Amino acid sequence: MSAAGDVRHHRVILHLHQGASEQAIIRVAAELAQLLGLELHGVYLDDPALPELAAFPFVREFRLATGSWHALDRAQLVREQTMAADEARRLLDDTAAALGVARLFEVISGDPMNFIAASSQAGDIIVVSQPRLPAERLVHATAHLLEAVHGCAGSVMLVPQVPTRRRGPVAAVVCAESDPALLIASHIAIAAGEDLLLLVSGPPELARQAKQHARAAGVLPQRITVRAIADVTPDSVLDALGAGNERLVVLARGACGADDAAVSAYIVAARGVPVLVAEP
Amino acid sequence: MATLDPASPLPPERLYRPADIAALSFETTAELAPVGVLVDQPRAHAAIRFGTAMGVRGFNIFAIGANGARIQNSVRALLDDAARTRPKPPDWVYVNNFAVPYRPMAISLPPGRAPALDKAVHDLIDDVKVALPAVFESEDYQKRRSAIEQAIRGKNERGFNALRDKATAKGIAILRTPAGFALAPMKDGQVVPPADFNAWTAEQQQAVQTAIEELEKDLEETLRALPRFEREQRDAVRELDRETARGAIAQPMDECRTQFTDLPKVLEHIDAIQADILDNIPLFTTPQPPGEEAAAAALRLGGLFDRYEINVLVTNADGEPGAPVIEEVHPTLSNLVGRIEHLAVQGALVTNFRLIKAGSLHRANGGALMIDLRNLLTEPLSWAALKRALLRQEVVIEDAARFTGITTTVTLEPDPIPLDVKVVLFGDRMLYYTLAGLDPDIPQYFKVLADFDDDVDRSPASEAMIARLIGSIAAESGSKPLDRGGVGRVLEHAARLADDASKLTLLVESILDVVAEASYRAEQGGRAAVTRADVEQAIAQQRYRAARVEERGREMILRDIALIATSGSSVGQINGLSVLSLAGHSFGRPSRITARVRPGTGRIIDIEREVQLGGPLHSKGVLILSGFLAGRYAPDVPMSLYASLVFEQSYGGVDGDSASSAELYALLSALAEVPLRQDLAVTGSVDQHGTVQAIGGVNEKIEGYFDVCVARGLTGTQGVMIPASNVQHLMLRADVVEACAAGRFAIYPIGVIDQGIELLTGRAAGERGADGHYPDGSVNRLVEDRLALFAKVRQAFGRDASDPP
Repeated sequence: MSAAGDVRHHRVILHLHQGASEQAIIRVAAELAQLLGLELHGVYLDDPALPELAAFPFVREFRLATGSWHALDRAQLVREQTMAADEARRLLDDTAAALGVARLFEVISGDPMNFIAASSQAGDIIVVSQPRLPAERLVHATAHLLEAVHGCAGSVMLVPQVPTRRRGPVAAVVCAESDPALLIASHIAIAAGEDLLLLVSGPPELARQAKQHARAAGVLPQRITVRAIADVTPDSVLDALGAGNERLVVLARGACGADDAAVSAYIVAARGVPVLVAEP
Repeated sequence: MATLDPASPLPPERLYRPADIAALSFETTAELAPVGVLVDQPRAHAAIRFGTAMGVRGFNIFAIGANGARIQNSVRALLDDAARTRPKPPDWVYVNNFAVPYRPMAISLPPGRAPALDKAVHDLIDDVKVALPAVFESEDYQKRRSAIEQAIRGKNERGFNALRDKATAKGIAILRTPAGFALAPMKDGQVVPPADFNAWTAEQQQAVQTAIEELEKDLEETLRALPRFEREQRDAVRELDRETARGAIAQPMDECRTQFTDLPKVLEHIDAIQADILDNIPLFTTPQPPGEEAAAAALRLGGLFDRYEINVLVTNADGEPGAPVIEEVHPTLSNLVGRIEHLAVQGALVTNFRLIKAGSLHRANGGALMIDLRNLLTEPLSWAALKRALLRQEVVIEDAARFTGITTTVTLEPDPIPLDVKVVLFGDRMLYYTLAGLDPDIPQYFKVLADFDDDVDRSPASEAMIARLIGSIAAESGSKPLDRGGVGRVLEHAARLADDASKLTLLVESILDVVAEASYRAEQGGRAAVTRADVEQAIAQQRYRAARVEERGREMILRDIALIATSGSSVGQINGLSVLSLAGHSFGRPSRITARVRPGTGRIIDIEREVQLGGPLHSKGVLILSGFLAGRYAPDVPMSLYASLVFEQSYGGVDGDSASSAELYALLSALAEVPLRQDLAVTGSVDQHGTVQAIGGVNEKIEGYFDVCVARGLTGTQGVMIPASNVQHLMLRADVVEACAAGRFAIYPIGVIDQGIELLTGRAAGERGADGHYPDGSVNRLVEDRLALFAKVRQAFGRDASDPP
């Protein structure tokens, strides 16, 4: 385990569900766990209500592969859920083994929202991915998942389906001297051997202090770049990033307003790199 | 009555013709101007000049000459001369065919410009590799792309949100199933369990069902529209990418085009490169895993960007003026017509247009290609492929393995390349005549015959020319220069090799052998230049190394195992002379020939032929003897003779008619019962009128008998009778000439049989007098009388045999 500011991170929790078991996402989560020396905890969210839908004679399934409607078959739904969970386990095991990361995998049945609320704690970094298919935004559970995880105690990292870059500086939005984003970004930059890009909103003194804190955390001075941003909005962050080639954007919870879920989704969509919202 | 001139020994000056290089002023051959071509070959040289000047199809050249004449050097020099005046042929490159990759395209460029194209395109791709990532990482591009994506995503989002809100308003949840989507009743944000739903009123349930049916249509429509939205976004981004890339690469593309504005084909290809780049932008913008390019290059697999490179097949960028002259020393099919190389990658053979390699036909295109005929014919498929190329006037790369079905791997079909080449085949005459007899296509493809002479008439001018040739050979072979004596001796050796004192051989290889060895001898002796003695020693050593069989044969004679008398006289017995050639070493050997006669039916038995040891020419010679005897001694009556002739102790084959005069002498001796001198040896063929005719190998025959006589001790009476017409061929060893000059040995030129029989018997041959008879005691009289006696005996025998017992 390693420390990030006052927060001691314990584990990286990767939320997996139907449509989210992409190797790219699993790899990003596993690499984060590797960089921070944390355990990777894969959680497959199995919705037990789904097979029950087969009891409704009027409920049908629109299958993407065939582009047609089909009656629901309970046994088939169960079988397909099991297969999806097995596939998620296999991908997680393979990726974690390849990176030498300790891992745990479990399948959770029940309401995902309840589970997230009950299981997450301070020190967790919850990794969720953007929907694989655009149409998944239609799904009520998906729409609420991001909001739910951002309501948890831990940090949240939103990962695009296909990250644009896997190398490059770690960018941190810094709004205060003790901004948690600064320290966790510093640790990741050091572990990954990357530069640290500080996007500082505040008086010039804050920039100096932020740089000092980063150096104190172990980042070499020549590997620190500071850019001032006028205000902390998603667009100003994007402007400050400009034509940069960052691999990760880190900001503190609430740094860009109350709706962290929307902010991180916005930045992820624009930059194509993961966004980590650090817990206070 | 005319009297016959007696045979007399030849004077020493007739036995050896020394070289005459008085007109050539030099100390050593280092001072002589070199010669590049075989001298005095007007016929062959004219043929080659004609062949090279003729532009009509099929006027290729067949140059033939003796083995060892090195005619290819001469041909090469003449072709070089002709090539200098011809324009340089164009360069050829193969480029990727972006539309049909398995059919690489051939493009012709003015001579020397292919490397420039190669470099220009290479630089272009390097520029593009830098320009494209830069422009696609630029803020401007990112903003434009983001705007496009946001606009389309926003349209999607609005659609999604509207549908989701509609579903929420109607109390319907949209759910993700493992394979798709489903709609279910929802209450308080949760899917209603079936048990709860069943507890609802029928109206409520019906309302839900109706809502689901309605939303199913909306959901299906939304989902079906997604690919269209995605395509719209993809197309918009692709168009943005193309526009961005087009602008980014415009300058390097234009710079590349500017260099080749005079070459439409090249411009077309550059346009194709641009189109391909615009179709494959991610190739330039997606970072490659480190080391992958280097690993691919190391394996020569070709990197990702090799598709744009230029394969310079043939270029004439060197500074040499004129057309190329190429000699293909190993004319395999692939060396001739080029090849497509393959690389084994994970068990499969792969290739690409960059692995097309030129053949000698490509390199010689526009100029001349020289091929050794024997080498060509010993390579499978090559002869037929060459003819195909000449017929079609284009080079098609043919894969031998594919022809024979050995491999069926994926390969290429490159564009054929137009062919305009003068092919010169060179080889020995026998091979040419054999091929011409077997292949009726020869006149179609090789209309010009350049027939090189094996020797040249000997004159001061030709000797001077050969002297220069000797100097060139010495220089080219790294030998020491020869002084005047050395050159003279080599010239004399050249005459001996020609087997004719009035000719000089043009077998350069043989001259080179002597010059090189003489140089070695000079080196051993610490001399700066090769002297006559060095050459003499070299010739002697060459003979010595090959003389084991010759010496063993002579030893047999000296130990009286092979019976050869060199003194005394015998009836019906004579020393004939033959020549043996073993692997280029020729030597003379005496053979005892004997004849026996008795009354018979006029038949002369050739024992050699009877036992199938005699060849047809030998048999012909013996049959001529019958004609001679009948014509001279029994012109009006049947000849009642049975005679047998044999080469004693001959256990191998005998052929040629050079012993026929000796056989006739033996026969006349047997008939006349007059002994023949055994200290003389005889060679020469004879016709039906008794004229002695020229034979081959006269020098070797004389020396062979001389060596036997020397070993037994020269008596002063020994000698060799040779045809008078062979005197011009004499180039005898110095020791033979010296012995003749000292009167210890003699060479007798013989014109007719009577001359020879007088020398051999010491009796007059005799001429038929007015009374129709030969003089008493003459050889001819004795022969005629004996034959008359045989006729009477036969007549008597015939009567006795017909009387009743």
